[in-house]
Amino acid sequence: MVPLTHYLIFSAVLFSIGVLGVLIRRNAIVVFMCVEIMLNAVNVSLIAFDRYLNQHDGQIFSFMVMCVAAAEVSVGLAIVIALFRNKATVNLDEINLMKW
Amino acid sequence: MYSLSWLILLLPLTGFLSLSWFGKRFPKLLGGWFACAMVGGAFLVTLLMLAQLYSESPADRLNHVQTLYPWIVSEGFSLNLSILIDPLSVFMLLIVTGVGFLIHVYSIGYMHHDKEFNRFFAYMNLFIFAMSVLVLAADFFFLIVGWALVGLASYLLIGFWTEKKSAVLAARKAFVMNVIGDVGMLIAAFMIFEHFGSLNYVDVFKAAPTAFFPNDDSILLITFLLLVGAFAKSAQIPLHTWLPDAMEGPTPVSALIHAATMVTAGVYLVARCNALFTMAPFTMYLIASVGVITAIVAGSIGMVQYDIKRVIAYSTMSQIGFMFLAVGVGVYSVGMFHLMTHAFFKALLFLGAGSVIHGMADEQDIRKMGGLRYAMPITFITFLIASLALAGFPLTAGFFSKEEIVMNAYHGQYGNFVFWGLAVIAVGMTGFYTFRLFFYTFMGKSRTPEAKPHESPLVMTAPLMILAGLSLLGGFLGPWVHSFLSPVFGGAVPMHHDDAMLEIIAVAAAMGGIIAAVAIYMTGKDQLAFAKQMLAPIYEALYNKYYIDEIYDFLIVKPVKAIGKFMEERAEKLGIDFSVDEVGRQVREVSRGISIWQSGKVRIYALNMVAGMVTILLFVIFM
Amino acid sequence: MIAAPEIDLISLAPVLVLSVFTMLVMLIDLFVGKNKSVLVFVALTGLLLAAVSSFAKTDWPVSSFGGSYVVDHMSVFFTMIFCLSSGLAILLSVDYNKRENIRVGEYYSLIMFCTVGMIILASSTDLIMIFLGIEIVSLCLYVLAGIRRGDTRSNEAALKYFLLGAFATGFLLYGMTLLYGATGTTKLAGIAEALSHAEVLSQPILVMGVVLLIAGFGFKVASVPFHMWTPDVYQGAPTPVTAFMAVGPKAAAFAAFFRVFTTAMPELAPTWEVLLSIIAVTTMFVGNLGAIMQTNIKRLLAYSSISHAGYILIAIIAKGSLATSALLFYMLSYTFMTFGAFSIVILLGRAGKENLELEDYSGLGFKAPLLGLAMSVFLLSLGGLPPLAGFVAKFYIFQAALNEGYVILVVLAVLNSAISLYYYLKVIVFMYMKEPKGDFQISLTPITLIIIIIGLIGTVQLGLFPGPVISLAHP
Repeated sequence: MVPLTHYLIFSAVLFSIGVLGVLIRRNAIVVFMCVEIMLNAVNVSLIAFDRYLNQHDGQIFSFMVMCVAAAEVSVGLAIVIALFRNKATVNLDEINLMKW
Repeated sequence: MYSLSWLILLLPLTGFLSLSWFGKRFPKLLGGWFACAMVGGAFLVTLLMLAQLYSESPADRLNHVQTLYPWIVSEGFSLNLSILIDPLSVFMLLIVTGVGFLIHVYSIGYMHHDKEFNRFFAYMNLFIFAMSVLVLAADFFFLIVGWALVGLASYLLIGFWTEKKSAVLAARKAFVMNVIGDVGMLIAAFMIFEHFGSLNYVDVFKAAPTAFFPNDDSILLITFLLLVGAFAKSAQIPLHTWLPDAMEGPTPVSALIHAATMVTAGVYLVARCNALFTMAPFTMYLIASVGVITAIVAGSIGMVQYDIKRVIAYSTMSQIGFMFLAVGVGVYSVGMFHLMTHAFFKALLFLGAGSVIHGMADEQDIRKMGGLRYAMPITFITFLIASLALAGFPLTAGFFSKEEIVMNAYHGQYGNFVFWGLAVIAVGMTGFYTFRLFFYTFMGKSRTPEAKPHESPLVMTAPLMILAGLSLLGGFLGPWVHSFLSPVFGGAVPMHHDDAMLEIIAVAAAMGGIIAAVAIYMTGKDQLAFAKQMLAPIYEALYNKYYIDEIYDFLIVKPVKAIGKFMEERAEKLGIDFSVDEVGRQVREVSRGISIWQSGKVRIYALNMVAGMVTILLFVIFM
Repeated sequence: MIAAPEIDLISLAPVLVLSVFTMLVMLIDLFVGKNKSVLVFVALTGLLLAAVSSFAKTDWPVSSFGGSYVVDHMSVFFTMIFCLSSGLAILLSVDYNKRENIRVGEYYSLIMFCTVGMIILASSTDLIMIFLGIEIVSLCLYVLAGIRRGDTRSNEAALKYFLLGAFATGFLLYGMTLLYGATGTTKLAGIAEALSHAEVLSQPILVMGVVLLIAGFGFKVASVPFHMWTPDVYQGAPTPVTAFMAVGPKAAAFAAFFRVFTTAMPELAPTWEVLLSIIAVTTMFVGNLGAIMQTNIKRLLAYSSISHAGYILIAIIAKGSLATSALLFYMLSYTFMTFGAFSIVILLGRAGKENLELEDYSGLGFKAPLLGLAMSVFLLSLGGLPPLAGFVAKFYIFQAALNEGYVILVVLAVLNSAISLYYYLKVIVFMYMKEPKGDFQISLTPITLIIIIIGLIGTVQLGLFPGPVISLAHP
């Protein structure tokens, strides 16, 4: 059986990839997908913990996370589209009307 | 009967609120007289309190705490909305509301032409209210509230003429300096609460003598922090530079706030907390030292100023230095006595100066004045009385109080020869700058013939005359002040020290200052005739010694001028102003830095979050 | 086999009532014509009934749903605050929406759904529920921030808030997962129980989890260094939404923050106390120093809200029952003064010109004395001057912290209060000491007047007579 730590390390690496993606990428959509990667990394840990603790809370939790992620997608894409209509860009570095 | 004391707070507050809300709808003069009536009413109620105190035996006059309702109640701490009536608070209030009333009346004439007449009176009433809160507070909390409120009122009044840039800057400077003091007071209050579990005067002062050993670390720190507040408010070195600048405000404001009442709050604080300060002899030495040093430095700077109000401002600092010297050597009621006489003659001086400025169409440079004695006879006579009182001319009010201070600087509990010597020098300086100012302004011929000075209306001169009467006769109130206040200071009445030698020297110093001023400023060619006539014997003696002017000039005036200039330019401008400005500049820099950090870019924000989290994590791991 | 948990719908009464009314609002929106004012009445009725129905359970504390939901004095008090703030936000929006042409139906229902999320957030004692509550609140806010679809600033605010919010959610979630992994349960009481065993307490992932939780909650309450979205989003969002965001959702996040840290992790207190103290102090300083140079009133209030988050964090650090009541009292007074201030900000705007620069406030004190006075009262209360609500609120928090011995923290907080006065007074100086620049065209409608009066009464009443409310807030 694969030990828990393997899952946890996998999840941590996946999470870090997501974080790095958010920090590095400029495209709003891609950044948002990186956030999704982070959430899925969390799901991996949740399920792994759940399996090894022999419980069910984690599974339920991960379902909730998926639901929320789906809802976030719909809201997020709507926001990006609304912005794109007015500004015709999804480059985050150009979206800095408000600062200081 | 004591429950009526709430009226003292309520009346000026009503004045402030109604004038600031409906000020535009009040007819001009009505608003002014309304404000006066409010302060006058407060004065009458204070008199009532005085009568009530007199109906009791001296020992019972303490600790009449009037509670309106419990304001904050929480675990282990409660705060009541309450005020304290005792001889000290009533004494101080008599000065605040009494002198305040006269200055209010005077302002009706002085501010007559101002567009924002009612706003001015609203602020003035706010100040009286704030000062009453400060004086009547029954605990350190409301003391600080009042302390901050008077700072606010003074800020509003210094910057009253908002179109005047220098006034706005001066207001800001005063505000910053006062905030430094407020923070000191706040920390002191925290420490007091930590040690005594209460902020009530009654509890704290009762517990103080047994809570500490003399010169305990914590009592030293508490008293020191209280002093930061006191020195900032009372413009003592090194927190004094805001006061001369504060003269940018209207002159009645200078008279009320920056001479008679607010700036003396520091002295009141020390007197009020005498139970704490008695436990810290080291702090007492500090108070006396700072007081006497301020008296000398401010006096020396006052000798070279040309702006009529700045001369008086430096003189105020110097006189407050005397008061601190008095409380510092342990004779609290002498300090309060000088506070009272000073309120009379200094308010009078400022109001006289205001009358002069008013008559000279807003001219403040004394080099452009002169010869005003004919055009403004009432102002001239009252100003002369005030000058004599300030200089300590025998039998005027200032003579009695200052003489007691100088005597106690040597004979008092913490007095010594150095304090005495410095005090005597400061006395001499006082006489000098006072009469220099007086001669420049009123004597000789007019230096600007085109000016048409005129006497001020009765509404302005009447307060002058009343204050002049008080400045002449107020000195005889001394024994009454001491006996009235003695219960507050543990029954101590300052002893009268019969030391003719010291007394003669002190009087001689005062007279010497006056004579020096006469010698230097009355011997100008145009003033020659008048001087001969007025001071013929002295003048003859001086005139015959042909080189006396030059010797004076070389031996006294030049060094003193140099010291004054040095103090003003180096110590003040470069030292203290610079550091205060620098703090302000750095704060703005940091603020700008925070703003620029806020670049508007999402990725930077995310990076910032991650970096912050990593920092926290590292901190936890290596903690 | 999962045991079916006991279901106690009565304890969910406010949530259910509010959800029903929210859907009613959406439905009615379809059938009414141009005049949408009936929606306001329905929404307000729903909020009122929700507030009333929170007293359906009286024998506090009542735990239900297998220990994941609780009705206690804290959750009920918070429900009151939420209903009040949402009601004020809806009232505040009526004129604003008319002026700015915002479609109303979904606007009101979003605010109400958000309130549902806030109530859940303040009443949950389970990590899953807390997560759900946070997400309900956040999703509604993302949309609300961007509801002016034609306005680029509003779009930008929504996008920034959304991306960073989702990012922060990732951290929060990861933190919750680690906490779950270390203790084997998502119930707060169960976590506290598990942490009392030394072998659980010593796990390294716990520390990681705590840090991630702090980051997640820190974002929601806008504390440094997770605060940077605040000024931009507050500036770009429609002003009533800004006022709403500054009060309701923030209070809800604080409620959950407080619950998670004080009930689930008292054993870890030595670690998070230090961390939160550092964060609180930097938050206060950054908020106050950042506000000094601001010229836009909404940004200024945003920085001010950051600094207030710093003060409120002190309540979490102080723990204890006095801290609970201090937190509740603070949030209530903060509701009144913030809504009051923002209502005047909205009042000064006009269609096409929002008048958000400080310059636009020049001379307000003379042109409209009562409005100027009201604004001064709100600002001074935010600055913590006695005898206003803001002062008593700060006083209680500081008192709670002093009782626990955090003297330095309190001294720094007091120092910060002094700094903050500078920029609050700056606005007042503009109002009273500068000549009016443009002409004010203030159209004071009855609704706005009501909000200002409610704000004034609350601010002054809580300042002068805090006793009754304090005793309500006290468990």
